[in-house]
This record gives sequence, structure tokens and C-alpha cells, in this order.
Amino acid sequence: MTIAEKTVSAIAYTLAREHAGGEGERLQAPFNDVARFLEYELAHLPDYLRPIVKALTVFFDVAGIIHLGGLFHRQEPNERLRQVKAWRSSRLSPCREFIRFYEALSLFALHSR
Amino acid sequence: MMDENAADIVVVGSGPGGAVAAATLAEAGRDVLILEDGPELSADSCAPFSIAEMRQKYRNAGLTVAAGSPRIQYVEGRVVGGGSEINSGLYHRTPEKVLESWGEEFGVRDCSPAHLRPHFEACEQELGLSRYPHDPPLAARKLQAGARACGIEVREIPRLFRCADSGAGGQRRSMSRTFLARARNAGARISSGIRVLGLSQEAGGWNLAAQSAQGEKIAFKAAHVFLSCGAIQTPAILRRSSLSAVAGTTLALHPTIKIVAEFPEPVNPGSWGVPSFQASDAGNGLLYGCSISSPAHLSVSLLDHPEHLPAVAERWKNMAVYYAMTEGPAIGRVRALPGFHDPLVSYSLPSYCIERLGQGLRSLAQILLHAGAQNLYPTVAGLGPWQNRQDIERIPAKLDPGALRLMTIHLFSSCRMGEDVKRCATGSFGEVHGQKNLRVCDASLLCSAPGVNPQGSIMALARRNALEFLGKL
Repeated sequence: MTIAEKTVSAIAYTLAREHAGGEGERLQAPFNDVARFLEYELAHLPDYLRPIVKALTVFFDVAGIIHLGGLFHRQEPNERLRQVKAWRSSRLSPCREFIRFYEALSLFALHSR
Repeated sequence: MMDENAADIVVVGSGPGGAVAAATLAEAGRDVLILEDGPELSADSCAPFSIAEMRQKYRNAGLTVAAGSPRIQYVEGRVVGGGSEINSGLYHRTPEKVLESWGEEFGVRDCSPAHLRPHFEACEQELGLSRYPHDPPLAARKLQAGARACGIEVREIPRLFRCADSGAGGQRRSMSRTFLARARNAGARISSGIRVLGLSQEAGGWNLAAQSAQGEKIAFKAAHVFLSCGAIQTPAILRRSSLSAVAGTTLALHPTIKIVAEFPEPVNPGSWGVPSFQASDAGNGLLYGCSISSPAHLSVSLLDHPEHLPAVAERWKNMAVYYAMTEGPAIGRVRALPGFHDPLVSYSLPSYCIERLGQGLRSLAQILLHAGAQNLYPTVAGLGPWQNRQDIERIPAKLDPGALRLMTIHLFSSCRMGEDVKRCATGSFGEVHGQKNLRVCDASLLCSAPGVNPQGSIMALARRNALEFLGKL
């Protein structure tokens, strides 16, 4: 797996876990289907957008070093969620939009079950 | 031996424009080859509006967006049958005043309501329009009751759908089941998984450079080409091939904003598709309707109300998505980027359209409150939820463009027809200005946003233009 793929998978698990909280069995882990859906969508973005979103995804992973002291995808679930929440409420709109992009896809996959 | 990569007429794209043109041309005895970028799939290959459908039948798996302020998400079909395989199938004729304005403003010949009537009728006869055989879904009846209470005209829109004799379920009357089947019966060939990248002229005919789904380069030859790849891909091919400087310098669409309405009782059976009722506030250029309301679509529509997202899992049966749609002017652009296959689409909504959408949001919220909704969640960051009239009165007169989450499924006007060569990429019948034996036959031709679902307009124009090509008009 590439760094981008590991990060997408970690993002999928983090967001799906957050939104599945407390619900019935239908929405519970494992979230491999959500991760696969995100990877598929990323691979089919318009070709001029694909490298930009991939680069942002890797940047998000590396930003974990600042937020959490290590790469995002290597963190514990609660630590990952902390970084997602920080980006979701960031003053920088590209950070918010980045999370929104993955969150919309994660919710769509989760509730399509 | 016949060259399978050559034809008298190559139709690029198999959506409503390409399918109707191909059937008309093939039934007149012409040798027709249809090239479609997407795969050929059974109409029942996946559930409508599902993840599987996004993967199988949507371009870029449904992730396409017009850059601008605000960004507008859009979708295109990429499958044999094009958009007709994925849309709601609501059918309208082009409004008469719209057709008249195309004649007056763009000099389009033979495009009056009287000229187009036989083409509408011929398409409608093939398609078999239908209405609900029994009571419409409850969410549609809510819109009906709310709109009537607000004094807004509301009616059931015929669908391209054939209801089962039992009254339960039925069959979407998409192109693969109608005009493409007719084209095939008349001898037309369909090659799926073929993406046309560019065109060049040679000895009075056309060479088409294409690529298979596996990445293999393939060349096709034709005496005549009909480009029917939709309002985004058609101008991209023309621009990439340096065949029109005007193509793609305009683009119109129907910007659409949504509200999730929560009712005290169940309104959502989970398997209704898109209810075919629309309320029309024509004086203000606004149209209201029901949208697909699966739990997946509800959850994405509630993304700006994160604290209410758990309600989807708990109470989705009480929730439905509604929309307000308006007509955007032809101020967008489609550009072919060097080194990339996918075109860059841009569209910045003018402030008067944002004001109109704000008005639409207020009216739709009123309609839904009159219908008995208890919570309204707009797809606008930082607004709502609303529970009563006072909440709606507090909606700001001017909405922040950055907070709007807009989408559209209707795109047009990127190669407008007409006799004004400075404003129109094609002539009155889709002939690309400055080129021989090259025509456009899809939503790109519409001179302006029609204000209603455009598939009926596209099909009628396709039949008219194909007959004109054959000298039978």
C-alpha cells in the first residue's frame, strides 16, 4: 500500500467510526467497504484533480507529525479523530474542504449499507 | 469486407441526443456507428441512485464539479444510453417562450413551438410517458399540499417510465430500451468503452482518434460525424481538436439547492426513486420538487448539520429531500487542458441568481412548513435548522456564496445553435460553423437554460436535426 492509500484508509476508518457511534449493527465496523469506496472515488477523480487531492492527502498524513507527533495513519483512533476535528474546524478553507470531501464520501458509503 | 472502424456516419455518444439521431439516421438506411465512452450494461445492472450505479454509470464515479464561486457539483452519465440511464426521467417539452426567445435572440431557424411539435410527438410516442397509476408517494403529496397552501402551482410531471400492470414498480424508458434498440434493429452498430479524444479532417471526411477502456489507441473513419457527448464532453472534443473557437466559451445550468424536511410521520418508503411532482413559481424563475431521499443521500445533505446526522439512522423514514432550482445564465466555460483528458469546467453564479436561490429557499421552506414538516435542514453552512415561520423570516436576504452547497444535473448551451457565428458554435441545425460534415446533437445546442428537465428538448432537437441532415425536414 502507498502512503496515500494508507492515509485514505485511516481517514475512512476515523470518519466512519465517528458517524457510526452508538448506532445499530448496520453501521458498525469493520469499515473496509468505506475505505475501498474512498479509494475508488479518489482513483476516478477528474485527471487534473487527482494528483492535487492525492498530494493533499499525503500532506494531511505528514501534518500528523505537527498535530500528533507522528504520521496520521500510524496513530491510535482517538488521536486520528483529534486531527480530523482540528482540520474540520480550521480557519483555512482548503483544510475544511479536504475533510468535507472525505466525510461526504464516508457518510454516503456508510449509509448505503 | 466492411471496415468495422469506419462508417458513413459516426455518432459520438449514446445519450438522448445521440440515440435519437442514430435511430433516425439508421432507419433512413444510413450506415451508422455509435461510439460510447462508457460500458454497455443492462438497465437492471444495479439499483438506481446507488453506490454501484455511481461506479458503473457516472463519469468520474460521480465526482465532477464546476469550479467557481460557489462550486457546483454536477453529474454526467457515462454508459450506453448516457444520462437517460441514470436520471429521474421527468419529461417536459421546451417551454414555448423559451423556443421563441431562441429564434429571436440567436436567429435559430425553424425552431418555433409549431416546428418542434411533430418531433416532440414522435419521441413521446416511442417513449411511452406515464403517470402514477395509484396514489403518488407521500413525500410528493406533501409538496403538493404545501405548494397549494402557498398558492403555488403544482402538478405531476410525466415520466419516461412504464409502470408494471400490477401497479408496483416498472421500467425506466431509457435510451437503451428505446431509441438505441431501434437504431440497432435498423442496422446501427454500437461500440462501447471507446473514448473519442479528437477529430481531424482528411479528404473531406473525418478521422477520429480514440482510446479503448484498456488504453489502446484506435482510429475510426467517417464521412459525417455527429457529436453527442453532452454539454461538457462535446465542446471539450471540439476545442481539443481546434475545430471551434466558440465551443465551450459558454455554459448554462440549473443551479439547485436542497432542504431536508423531517415530518412527524413516515413519508419515505425507501424505494420510491424520485417523486415526479414539481411546483412552479414561473414568475420568479423557480421550480421546486422532490429529490432522491435514500439514507445515503439524506446523510450527505445533512453534512452541514453534523449534530443532526444521527437522525438519519434513527428517523430516515420521516425525512425527504426537496429542491429549489433556477435558471443560470450561459456564463460558464469548458476548457480542454493540455495533457489531460478531463475538461475543466468553471461557472460563477451571478449575484442575482444567488438572490433568487435565497428566495427559492425561503419559498420551499414555507411550502414544507405548510406541508407539516417539523424540522428543515437547508444545504447551506451555518443556516438552520428551521422549525417555524419566524425562523424563515430570519434567513438573510443575501446568502454567502461560500456557504452554499449547490448541485445540478442539467447542463447545456456550450455549443449554442444559431446563425450568429460570434455567439453560436453551430448553425440552426447543429452544423459546426466553419466545418463540413460535422454536427453537434446534444444538450450543448440549447441556447439557454430551459427552466425544466431538458431531455425532451434534446430528443426533439436531435430528431429535427437528423431529419434536416437527411433532407427530410
